[in-house]
Amino acid sequence: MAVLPVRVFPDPILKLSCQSVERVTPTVHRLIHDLTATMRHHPRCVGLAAPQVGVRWAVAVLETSRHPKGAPESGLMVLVNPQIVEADGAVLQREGCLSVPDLTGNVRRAARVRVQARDAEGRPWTAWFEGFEAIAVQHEVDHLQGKLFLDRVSNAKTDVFQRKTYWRADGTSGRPAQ
Amino acid sequence: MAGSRTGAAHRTWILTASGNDRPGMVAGVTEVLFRLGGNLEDSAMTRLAGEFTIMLALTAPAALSAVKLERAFAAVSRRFGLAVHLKAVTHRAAPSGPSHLISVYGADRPGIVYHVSHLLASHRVNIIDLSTHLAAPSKGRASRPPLYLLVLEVQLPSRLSVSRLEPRLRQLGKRLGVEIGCRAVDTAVL
Repeated sequence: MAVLPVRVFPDPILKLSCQSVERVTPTVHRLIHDLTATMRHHPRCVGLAAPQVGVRWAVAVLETSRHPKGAPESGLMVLVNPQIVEADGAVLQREGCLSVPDLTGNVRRAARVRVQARDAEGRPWTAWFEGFEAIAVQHEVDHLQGKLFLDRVSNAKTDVFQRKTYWRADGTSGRPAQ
Repeated sequence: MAGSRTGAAHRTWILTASGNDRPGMVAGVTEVLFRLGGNLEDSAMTRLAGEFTIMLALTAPAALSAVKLERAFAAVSRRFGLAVHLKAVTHRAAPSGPSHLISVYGADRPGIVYHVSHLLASHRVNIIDLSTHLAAPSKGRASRPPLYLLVLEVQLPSRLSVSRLEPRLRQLGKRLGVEIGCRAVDTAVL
């Protein structure tokens, strides 16, 4: 398990669509482990997609219990080739992204989504997500299609904000030094 | 000339004002309007570069001429050091069709707004709303260029499809080194 450096926009890989994974090989396994380690290294980070660590494969990890808004019982989820096959409702939520570190934005997302994907062993699964998990999974699926939350804001002035709090690795927070 | 939607007795004006920001400016401007028997129809107020700026669509009794209105705002303008400008609205824009959102973002550089709006103008695309955000990178990340974000709400002429406009926007994005995306404004039907 290695903590990998996180790619930051304007790194071009963040705007490319990812290739789907044919077989979960040992290389894919290592990627899943590295994504998990990298996500857990960043306080409050609840999800990470492969292009954020420089890999153009449709793989992401999700662990919403790492955030106060997430359900504490939800464990680590591995998304290989995830697709949103159904969606309904709409919610507005302030989102941040490790790859756009200085901004946060109000993004409108579906309130409920049905996701089809494969797990870390390559077995297909499908499930409905709602609440905070639904938002997180849509954010990660966007990454795998080369989309950032900035592609979804409606007003640069009223929906986008300078990040004020940066979480440190030790879990404390603070404003950036002026 | 009377504004057609506001009845014969009223006339519509656009007022713009800006000045060094301090408390009381909105109250000062709207008090004048209130005392004149006018009405505020729509407004946009914000701070630009720390300067208070306000744009108001207002209706005022038709008996008030431009000179009289300007005189009415003279005191508040002096008190707050406000530059005030008034313009009569002579006709209302025709009702318009569905709109699209164009987002543009990338490392800040001169000419982004110009080049994007020029391309849109050459296709007779009408910009109805424009907002920008310039992100200052946090300290310690100073090597990163500031990120510039521009979101435009636009209306396409009926003969222009999004699928025809999009590749041109993408092409321009490549040339400018910024990301450009276009999508329909999706209004939630509840």
